[in-house]
Amino acid sequence: MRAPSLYSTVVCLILWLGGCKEPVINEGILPLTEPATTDENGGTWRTIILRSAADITVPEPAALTSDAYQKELAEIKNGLLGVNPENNAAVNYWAVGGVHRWNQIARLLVAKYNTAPLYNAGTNTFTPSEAGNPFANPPYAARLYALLSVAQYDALVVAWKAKYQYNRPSMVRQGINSLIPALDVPSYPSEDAAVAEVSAQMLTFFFPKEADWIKAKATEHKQSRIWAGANVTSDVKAGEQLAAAVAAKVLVWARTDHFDGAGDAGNTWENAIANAPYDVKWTSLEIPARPPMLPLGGMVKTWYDSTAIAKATPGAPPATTSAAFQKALAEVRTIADSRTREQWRIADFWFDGAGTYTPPGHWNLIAEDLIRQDRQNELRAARSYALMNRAMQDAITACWDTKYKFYVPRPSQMDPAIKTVAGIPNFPSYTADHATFAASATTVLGYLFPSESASLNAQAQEATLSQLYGGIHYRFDNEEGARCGTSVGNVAVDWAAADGAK
Amino acid sequence: MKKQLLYSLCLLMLVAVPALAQMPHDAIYMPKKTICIAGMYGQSSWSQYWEGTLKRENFNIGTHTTRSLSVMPAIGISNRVNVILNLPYVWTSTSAGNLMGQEGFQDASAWLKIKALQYGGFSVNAIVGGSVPVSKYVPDFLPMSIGLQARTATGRLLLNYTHPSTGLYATAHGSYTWRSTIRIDRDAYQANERVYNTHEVSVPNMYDAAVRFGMLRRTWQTEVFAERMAALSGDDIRRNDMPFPTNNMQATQVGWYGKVQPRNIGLNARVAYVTSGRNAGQSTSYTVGVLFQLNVK
Repeated sequence: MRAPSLYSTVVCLILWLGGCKEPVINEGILPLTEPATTDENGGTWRTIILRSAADITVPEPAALTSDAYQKELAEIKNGLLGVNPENNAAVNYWAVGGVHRWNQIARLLVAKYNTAPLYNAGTNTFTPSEAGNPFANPPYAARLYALLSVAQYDALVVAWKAKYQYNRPSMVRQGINSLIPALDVPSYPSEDAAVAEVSAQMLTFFFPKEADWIKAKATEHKQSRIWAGANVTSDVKAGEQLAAAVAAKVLVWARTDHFDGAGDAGNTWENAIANAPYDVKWTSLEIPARPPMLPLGGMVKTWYDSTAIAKATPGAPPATTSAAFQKALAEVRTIADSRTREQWRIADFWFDGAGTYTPPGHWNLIAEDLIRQDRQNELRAARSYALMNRAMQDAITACWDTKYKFYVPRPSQMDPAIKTVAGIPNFPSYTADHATFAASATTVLGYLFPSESASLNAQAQEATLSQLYGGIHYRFDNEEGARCGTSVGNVAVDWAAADGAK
Repeated sequence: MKKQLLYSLCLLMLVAVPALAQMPHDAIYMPKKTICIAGMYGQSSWSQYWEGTLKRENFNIGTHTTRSLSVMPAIGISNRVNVILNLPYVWTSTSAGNLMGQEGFQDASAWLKIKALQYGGFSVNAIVGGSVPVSKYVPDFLPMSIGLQARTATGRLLLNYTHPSTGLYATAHGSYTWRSTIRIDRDAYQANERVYNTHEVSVPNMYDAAVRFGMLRRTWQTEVFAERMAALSGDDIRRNDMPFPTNNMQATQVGWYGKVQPRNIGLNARVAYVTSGRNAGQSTSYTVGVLFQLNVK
């Protein structure tokens, strides 16, 4: 009996000590790569909010021979010797790409603020989970990603124009070995400082409570370029200034794009639903019922040609009494009753519900990978995000317009036995937002990365079917959503083909 | 071989033996070459839960119920070394809302229980155990998921004093449970105020501790207990959000356990009530079981 008792005591002890270490989640390290192109004509690319890069004047920098500049250069050289590990960590973090990093930060903030308002039983009202917090739902997030990448893109076009106008040589050309692989473009103004400043201003517009945290990130980003030996202080200052000017103009757009009214404070939806041209009307499946999300979200100003987008907006769905509808409803029920694990995986993978960065956030993550593989520079990366994110916002605006034209009930309203893989979103069924996002995003990404089009199509198909598998949507919601998303995506592709970037 | 089987069956039917059905958290041992198989049904429900430290209800869930049916053989390797196995089938459901109830075989567990020291009525017992998921249930569909998909390993030290003549006893035990990371269907999730861009999720390790007082007689047992289990790290459920496997789940519960086993067939029952918690439901639970003892000669 001696041996086993000793043995067990040892095992216990090992478990006790070994267990003290929590496993660390390894997300892998993002590679640092030098971008593939310099895009010298970037300053002539078509801007989005600005009429052209010439709208913003970037002052001429001090001459290379000036004392002021030589002093800055000396500071950089001395600074490189004194970079501490903490600075180095910041340098490597931001060297992955400012546009990528700010997109990741935006996704984090969306996920953080993506919680449904609380129900207060006492007053029978709904309030944000914390006072003053926005509800970063999918249309909100789509608009945020679009405005962020539009502001980044316009600021970078301005930066590129000034770079090649003034031609202040990159640090590498002045004999400074920076800590990271830096793109060999003229260093004035700093593209990183421009991205940091414009992103911080845009995100602060959406999340004013995060102002300090965002500002700290932006300060670190700008400073990281000096620590890295990739920019001097006057490069950073100029980038910051031009970005502030661009942000001011983009914020004017943001304040007048009609999104603020999308929440329908006057409850006009109650009238609209009564007059909706559909035989059974949507009701909230929440307990207690709550008003639908953003009833006037279809009125938001579009980025691309509004006439073309209006043409893409879907027509009427089959009436509930039709055989087509009954067949579609029965299909949802059959899947819900016999859902396979693989169907569940697909539904779960693409749902991107509360507490996540939402479906457009998921497509930004997918785009991030493609942009990195393609080794796009900051300007080109911002263009890719801006093309896709504008398409997704316009497509969801068309989708919302359709939802609140017909007020089609969710499958579970028509057949309460249909159980779902996630909470049922509190807005009408037709058309499907997931399918709309997927089709608009992949149409643009397929244009930008033609070699990836097969895998993008497969992803789009899965994302489109996911909500049927989840019990959330009818097949016709998905099909019409995807059709509309593809049309809007094609409008974006037309824009991309003519913006000068090639 | 046939003779042995026949003999066992005879024992099963006719012979009254001391009834000793036992658990991984008591100081009771099956004698050498005896097996006790427990078949148990359990039900646990809550209508209020702790979102972090805030206690709330959720009209879109109503009352949440978990049912389980498990088979639990305890095998006497020797008089001081026992092996206990357990395999539950679990169902979840809600009284309101549209979330799909889940069901399936959950995690198979195995325990090795060793009486390391005995001095009069006092004993020191070392218990090690582990569990592995046995089906591909969805782990991040909380509170509907039937489990977390983590593999676990537990080390437990259990002290017991049983008064030799009356059978009155006191037990105290504490354990540490290591839990593996898990993989979810999604490729990103939010936890610990971050967005992780990976399928892999860390499930916090946990501890548990309990005290039990009761009386153990030849054919029956009665006990009151207080148990506490808590994760050693992890985050809170965010305001008005759903739970997630990274949550720091904690619960303290009190309850009663009883067993009657006049012959080789017996019954047990357990009731428990959660008095406080964090990221957990305030559940009331009960379990009833049939015990079936056989000797293998």
